[in-house]
Amino acid sequence: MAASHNIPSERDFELLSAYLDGELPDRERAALEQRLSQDHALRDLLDDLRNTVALVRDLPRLKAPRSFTLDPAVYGHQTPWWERLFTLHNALQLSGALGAAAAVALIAFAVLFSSSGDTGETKEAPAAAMMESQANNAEPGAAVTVQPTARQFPTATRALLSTPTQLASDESEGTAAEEAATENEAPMEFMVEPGGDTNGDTGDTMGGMSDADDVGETGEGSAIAATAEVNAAAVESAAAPESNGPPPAALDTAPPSEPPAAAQAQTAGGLANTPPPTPSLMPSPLPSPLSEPADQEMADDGAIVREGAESDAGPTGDYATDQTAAQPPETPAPDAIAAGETAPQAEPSTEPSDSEQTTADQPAERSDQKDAQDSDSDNLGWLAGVGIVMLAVSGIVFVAGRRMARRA
Amino acid sequence: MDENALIRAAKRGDIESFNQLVLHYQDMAYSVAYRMMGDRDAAADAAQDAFISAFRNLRQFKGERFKSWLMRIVTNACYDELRRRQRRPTASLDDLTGATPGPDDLSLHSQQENPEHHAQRMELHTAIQDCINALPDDQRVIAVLADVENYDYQEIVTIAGIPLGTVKSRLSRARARLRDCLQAVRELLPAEYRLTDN
Repeated sequence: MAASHNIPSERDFELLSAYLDGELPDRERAALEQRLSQDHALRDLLDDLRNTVALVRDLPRLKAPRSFTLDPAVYGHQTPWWERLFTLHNALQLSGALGAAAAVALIAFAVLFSSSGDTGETKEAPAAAMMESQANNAEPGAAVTVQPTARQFPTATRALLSTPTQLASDESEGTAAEEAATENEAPMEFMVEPGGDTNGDTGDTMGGMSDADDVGETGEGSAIAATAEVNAAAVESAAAPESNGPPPAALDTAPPSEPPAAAQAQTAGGLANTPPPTPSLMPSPLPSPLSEPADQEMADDGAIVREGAESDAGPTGDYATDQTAAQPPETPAPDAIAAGETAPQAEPSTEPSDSEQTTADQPAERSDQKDAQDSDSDNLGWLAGVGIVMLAVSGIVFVAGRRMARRA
Repeated sequence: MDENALIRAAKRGDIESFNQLVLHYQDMAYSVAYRMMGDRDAAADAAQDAFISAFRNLRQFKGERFKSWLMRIVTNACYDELRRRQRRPTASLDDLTGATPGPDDLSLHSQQENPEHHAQRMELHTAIQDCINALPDDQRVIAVLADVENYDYQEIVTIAGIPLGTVKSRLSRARARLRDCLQAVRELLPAEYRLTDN
């Protein structure tokens, strides 16, 4: 035992403490008593510890400040553990966690499918842009917005004038049409007389060129009819946007340049009031507003050409002629003839062939698909919004449950 | 009071039987809690929590000494409360007012005691309680169980859930600290309890 006479070790305190409590084994107790008989300081320490314990033990037992009995109304029925598990705060936390998980899943679903939907939309973006362009063109005030290229222009002309077998040579046809344009000014003047003076220089050139092409091989009446027919076809195609062609077809479509109504008026007026286009202007690739829809259709699908060709002998031509002849004073604007008035008349005039049927159906299908995609994306966005709201609510519920649990 | 019958009835969900056990042990539970925590409100909260917990876990009581089982729950409730207060320290109303257990809290004070002696005794009790409060938590719990409540070592092992050697060492260190602490207020100590100088 290493106890010094004046500085008790921790071990001495432990032995003396256990000795006071009678918890020391017999052998250790005997050894300690031997030391106590010899070590005065150790005896003093034992006395101090004894007095300390006595002082602490003398502390009174306190009386409870209130009754701690349990309320029978609250604790009268012991709730099983499974019921206690579903206390309000536990239920709140559980529902909050589940709601948050569901919300995250919902958002992830929406994001995942909307991103895949976006990819599809970007792939079809040019076609969609073209369809929108055509749809805009279908409006009465915006009949022509497409500027075909130089190669498209004669092709479109062929669509007005010839059968499908005539599609073989673009250049020669264009030249023939140019030549014919100079020969057929009079009918065009007759047709566009009501247009008045709302023409411009550029429109003059374009209109003259286009109408000359139209009239080139079919004569006066059929030329007018063809013009009306093409306009009707353009309106039809615009009303039922066609995206049959690949995206590059849309790249051929130039953005709307001039208000088509003005362009049409310029065209009509140009025919009426300006000198006939000089041959030097004929090769110009600038399109005629009247022929542009046909150009567009040709760029999209050659089947439209048949429509224009077939309709040469149809009633539309007569109607167009009659109408242009019968309503000189009231005609609001030539573009109304082109886009607004001729469209409904042209519809019944053309009998849908197979190719025409497919052409008409496909845009409708595309339109339906686009509508479905739009509605899908709307639904997905709606789902994501619901998910976010759900996540926020779940978080609030979970936090409230945690706070209640802490308080409990 | 047939404690075992009350316990059996309480196990079946008889709250009235359990409340009789509560009334029997609540002073002890509160006193231990107060000695361990040194704050009346915290002690009351810990005692109340302990009885609620005891009732909810009464099925786990397997027939050992009920007092020790209950004291273990009280001790755990005090530990929880101490940990909670360490995380979020709060100013006790007792600390602010310097309040000590009043005469109503003391069940053993003599009605024949003159006011001067009563004041001296209360001052001594306050000094002792301050020394207890100054102990580390682990030593304080053992000191209260052993010296205030007079439990033997084996019961303390059961209640505190620590080995016997740990109980011995913690108790000896606690007593050594208490001795040193009380030496500082020796003028308050009764003559028979005067401590020697270091």
